[in-house]
Amino acid sequence: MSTAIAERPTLERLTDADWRPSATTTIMSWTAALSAQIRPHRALRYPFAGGEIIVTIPDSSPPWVVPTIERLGGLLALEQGWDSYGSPCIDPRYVGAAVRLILDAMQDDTPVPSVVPTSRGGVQLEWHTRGIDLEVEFVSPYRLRVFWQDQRTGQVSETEVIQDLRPLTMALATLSHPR
Amino acid sequence: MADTQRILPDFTNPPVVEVALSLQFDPIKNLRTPQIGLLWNEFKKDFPQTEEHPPLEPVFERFGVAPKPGRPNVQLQILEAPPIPRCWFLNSAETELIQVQPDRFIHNWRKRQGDEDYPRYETLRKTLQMELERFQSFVDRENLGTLSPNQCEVTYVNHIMLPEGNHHGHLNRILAPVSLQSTDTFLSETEEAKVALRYVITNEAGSPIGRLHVVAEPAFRIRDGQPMYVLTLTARGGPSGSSIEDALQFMDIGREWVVRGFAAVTTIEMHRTWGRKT
Repeated sequence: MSTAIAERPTLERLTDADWRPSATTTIMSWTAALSAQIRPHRALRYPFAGGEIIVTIPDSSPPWVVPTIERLGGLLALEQGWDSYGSPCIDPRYVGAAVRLILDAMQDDTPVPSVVPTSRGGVQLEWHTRGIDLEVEFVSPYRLRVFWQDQRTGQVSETEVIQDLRPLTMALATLSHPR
Repeated sequence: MADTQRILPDFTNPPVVEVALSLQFDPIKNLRTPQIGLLWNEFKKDFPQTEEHPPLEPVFERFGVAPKPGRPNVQLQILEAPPIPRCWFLNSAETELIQVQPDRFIHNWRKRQGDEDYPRYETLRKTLQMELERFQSFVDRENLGTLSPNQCEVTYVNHIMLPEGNHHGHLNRILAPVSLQSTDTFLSETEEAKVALRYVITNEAGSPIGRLHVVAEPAFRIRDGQPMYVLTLTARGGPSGSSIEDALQFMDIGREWVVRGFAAVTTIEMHRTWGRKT
């Protein structure tokens, strides 16, 4: 059992200076709990001008994790004019957002997507399989345009997604387990 | 503008000490430290003091992403050098604050000591609207990018001094959903309790548009060491469109959830203490 000084959150409010949290915690720090440990298998590192993206992958990951992250990270190596039309380098924030999204939304058995750089320096993920076309374009790091076409039923939809990811997760579920 | 005049719970002496209205938007890539310095000129007359703080991480209320049992944890770090700070513009009395970073604009107001009146929401909203319009004009004039709101936050911070003879184990005297009852008699009285609750905010169609977070944290007042609870209610969610007016409309919804939520989670006993009027 440990006693620790409770940490103050990042100073965000004017009245934060008027109080202090109750000074002790009585649970073991999560960093000392075996069950909370992340035992990394490897760290994937993707440098870019002025920074680096680091993704730490544990031993067991779904089969799409490493190849998809490798493809996304590889986009950061593209130089300005990579498409011979003067397109900018790929913005690392888009790459980071795409990594976060696939880890949050994809299922263990989701097929590996195609990773496509866009001429605006962004990222698009695409699936064209089993009669289904799913394209996810990052309009900004936090704003997605999801295009869905089911060639079996003729169903087509296009929607912008910010916080409600249900259209995307439903599409991914269908992609993983087509009826 | 939404109907902000609907009758909401009202108190003669509410424990609110601070209100913050926050707009989060897609990062404005060219809004870097020098440009934030230029922006200060727009507000310098009323906010003559500055401070720099670490930037806040973007926060989203996500729906449709369920935790995946067995999914390995993956850590992702994006290291950028140098990070752009969150700049504070403070008024002389240090009762009002504008916080700016490439993806946030926040206005905080705090109650002055001994002043029982706090700015009413309608006043704060109007001020924020003028500031956001000024900010948008600046972004347009300097060709910095586009202001595209993606999340809005309404936060009310309440300092609740514990009733006479009570301590941090008596949170059930303040919050109605907390019973602090044990199944048997093994445990003695609770020494301390802290609580975090969250509720889904829905629109008229029943679709989720955000969440109300209620956090009660045991604390001590710095000036006299008195035990207290810091009860923070934050309503966060996405605006229905990408205009400032759309963002303000979510703020109206968020404010209503905070005010109604505050009355709903606090006890009748505390309502009497604060003089509930409606």
